Amino acid sequence: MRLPHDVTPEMFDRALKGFRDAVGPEWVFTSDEDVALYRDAYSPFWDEPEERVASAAVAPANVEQVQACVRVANQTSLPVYPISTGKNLGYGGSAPALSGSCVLDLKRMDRVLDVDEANASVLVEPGVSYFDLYRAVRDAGAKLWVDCPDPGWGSPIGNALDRGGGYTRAQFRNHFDAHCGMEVVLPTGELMRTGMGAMPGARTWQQYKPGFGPWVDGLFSQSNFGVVTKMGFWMMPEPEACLIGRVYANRYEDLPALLRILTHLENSGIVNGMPGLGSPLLQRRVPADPQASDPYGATGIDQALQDAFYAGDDKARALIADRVKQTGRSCWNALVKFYGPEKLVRLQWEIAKEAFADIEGLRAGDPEFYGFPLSDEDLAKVHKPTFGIPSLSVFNFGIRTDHQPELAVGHQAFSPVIPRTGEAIFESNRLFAQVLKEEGLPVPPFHLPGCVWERAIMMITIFPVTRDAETNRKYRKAIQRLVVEAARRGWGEYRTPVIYQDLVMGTYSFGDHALRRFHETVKDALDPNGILSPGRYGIWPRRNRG
Amino acid sequence: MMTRRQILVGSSGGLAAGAAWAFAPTWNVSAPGAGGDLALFLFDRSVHGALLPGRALARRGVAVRSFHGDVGVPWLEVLEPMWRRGPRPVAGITDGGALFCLEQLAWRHGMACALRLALPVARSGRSEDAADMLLRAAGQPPGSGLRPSTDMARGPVAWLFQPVGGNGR
Repeated sequence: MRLPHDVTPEMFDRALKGFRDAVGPEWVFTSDEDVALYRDAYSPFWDEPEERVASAAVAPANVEQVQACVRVANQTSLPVYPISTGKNLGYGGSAPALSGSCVLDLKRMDRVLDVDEANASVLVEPGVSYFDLYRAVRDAGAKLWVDCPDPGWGSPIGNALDRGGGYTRAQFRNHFDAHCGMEVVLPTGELMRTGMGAMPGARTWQQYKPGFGPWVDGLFSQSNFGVVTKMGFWMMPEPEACLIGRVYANRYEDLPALLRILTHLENSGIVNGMPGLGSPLLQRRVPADPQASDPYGATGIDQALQDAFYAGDDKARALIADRVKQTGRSCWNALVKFYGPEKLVRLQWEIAKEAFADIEGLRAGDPEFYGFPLSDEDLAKVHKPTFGIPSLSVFNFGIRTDHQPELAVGHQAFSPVIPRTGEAIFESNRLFAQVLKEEGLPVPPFHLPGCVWERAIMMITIFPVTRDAETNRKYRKAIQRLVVEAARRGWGEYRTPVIYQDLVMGTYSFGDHALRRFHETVKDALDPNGILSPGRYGIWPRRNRG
Repeated sequence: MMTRRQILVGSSGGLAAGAAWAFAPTWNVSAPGAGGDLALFLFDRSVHGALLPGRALARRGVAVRSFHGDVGVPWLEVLEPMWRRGPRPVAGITDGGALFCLEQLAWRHGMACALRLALPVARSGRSEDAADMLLRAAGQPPGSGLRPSTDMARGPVAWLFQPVGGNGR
C-alpha cells in the first residue's frame, strides 16, 4: 500500500478509525483486493510505479457522512478523492490523482431527489447514473429527455463537473452549462448551496442559476475545491419530432464552406441538434451517426486515399476527385438534426438546404424522420443518446480499431479544442499524423471532429491502452508531444486523464501561469490542509507544491 | 439496500423498472429458472456463433434474450431490473468489450463473472458446446474471491455471472 509522502502509517490508521466511526466499519475498504477495484482499468501506467493507486476507500451514505469524512481527513491530513460512479474510463476512472489518497466513494448517494416535468428539471445525488436517471424520469411519466454522454454508466454530476458533453440540443449537451444549483461540502466540512439554494427555503433552486453575488459554480468543475453532493439539471422536454438530414459535398476544398454554413445555421438556431461531419469517401463514421458505428461492418483502409486527405495538395485533390467519380460517393457530408414540432423541423430542414446550396454541386439526401415514442425498429438502429437514451456502445467498440494492432484493453483520449473551421481540421489532422509518424506509431485515418460545442470543435483522437508497458510508454510520449505541439498552435485540451493534467495545465500559461496561480490561491484558501483531491486538474495544495 | 461489496464497483440500481424494449429474436420458452439454475441467457446477435448456443439453451427451458451491439440496452431493460430484485445466475455470449461493461455494472448487484470461455470452445471447435458448459457451471456453487476483471477479453466470449460468494459483513 502506498501513502502520500507526508502521511505516516499512524496518521493513516487514525484516519481509518475516524472514517469507520463516521460511516460504519463495513463501508471502509482497506483490503488489497477491495482497494484494487479502484484502480483505473484504462490506466496508461498499468502495473508501473507511476500508476495512480488509492490507499483505501470510504463510502458515505449521506451528506452528513461526507462532512464527517472530510473533517476526519482534515484532522489526520489523509487526502480524500471523491468519485461519483467512478467510471470515467478514458479520462481517469476512479483512481486518485495523488497515489495514497483515500477514495471517497459516493455511489451510495444514489437518489433522484426530484423530477419536475413542469420546470423540466431534476435534482440528483452523485451516485445516480444516466441509466438511473433515465429510468427515474420514465417511471415518473415525465416527458423529459436525459442528455447522455457516451458512458451511460456515468454520473450526471460527475460528467458535468468534468465538463462532459452529450448529443441533444446545445443548451443540454453542454452538461455543466445545463446545471442549475449545487450543494457542496467544502474542504473544511462546511455545507454550502449555490445559486438560489443559498436562500433557506428557496423555491427556485432549479429555476434560476446565479442567485445573488458572484456565481461560484464554475469553481467546482474540473477542480478540487469541494465535494458536490447535489446538483440540479435542466432537462430537454421531449420534442414532437426529430428530423435528421444529410448534405453531401464532392470537392475536398468544400469542407471550410460546409463547416462555415453549418456553424451559422447552428448559431442562428436553425439547426438545433448536434451536427456531425463525415466523409462517405473515406467511409468514416459520421459522429452521432447510428448506421456506421458497428466495427463488424468496417472495411479496409484505402491508404492512397488517406494519404491524399492528409496532403490536400493539387495532386491529392485530383486523386480525391477521381475517387469521387469512380465510387459515386461524396467527399464530405454534414449531418444536421432538428428537434421540435413536425411542421417546424421540416421547415428548418428546407431552410438549411437553401443555405447549403451555396456550395457548388451540393446534394441533399432524404431525411430521417422520427416521432415519439420511437418504434422498436427505430430503437434498435438509432444512436440512442441522440434521443436521450443512455448507451454503452462506445465501451463495447471503443477498443477495436483496424489501425491499432496492439492488444488494447482500453483507451485514452487526446482532446484539443480547435477553431470551428475546415482549415483547422486539415491542419490538426496533419499535425497529429506528423507527430505519430515521428514517434513510430500508426497514423489513424483522417478524421473529422465532434461538434458538441457551438463555437469550437473537439478534435478527439483515441489511443489504445494496453498491458504492455513499452507500448503504453510510446503512446504516453506521443500524447505528451501532441499536447505541447497543439498548444504551440493555440489549441488546448478540454479534458484529459489524470496523468496528463499537470502537463495540460502547464499549457494554459498566459501571464506566467496566472491562471494556475489563481487556482492555487483559491485552493490554499479553501483547503488549507490540502486534503481534497490533490493534483486533480493540475491544482496542487501548498503541501504538495515544490 | 446495497451491501458493502456491491458498492465497490458498479453503477445504477435503486429505481423501479420501466417498460421493456424488444430484443428479437428472443425465446422466452418457459418461466425463468426452468433451465436449471440459469435465470437468463443473453447474447449479442452480431457475434458469430452466438445463435446456436442460444437455441440450444432455449430448447432446454432457459429464458433467452438477444441484443445487437450495445450492451447498455439489455442492461437497462433486463439485467439491472432483474438483479435489483436479487442476484441470479446469468450466462451469455458477447464480445469481450460487452463482458467488460457487464462486469463493471454487475458488481454493484453482488454479481461477478465466474466463467469465461473463448469461442469457439477449445477442443471441440463448436460454439454450441458452450451451452452445456454454461449450464453445468451455473449449477455449481460460485467460487470465493470473485472480482471484476480489469482486462478485456478479445473476440467472442461465453460467460457466466454468479452471485458473489461470501458477500458482505
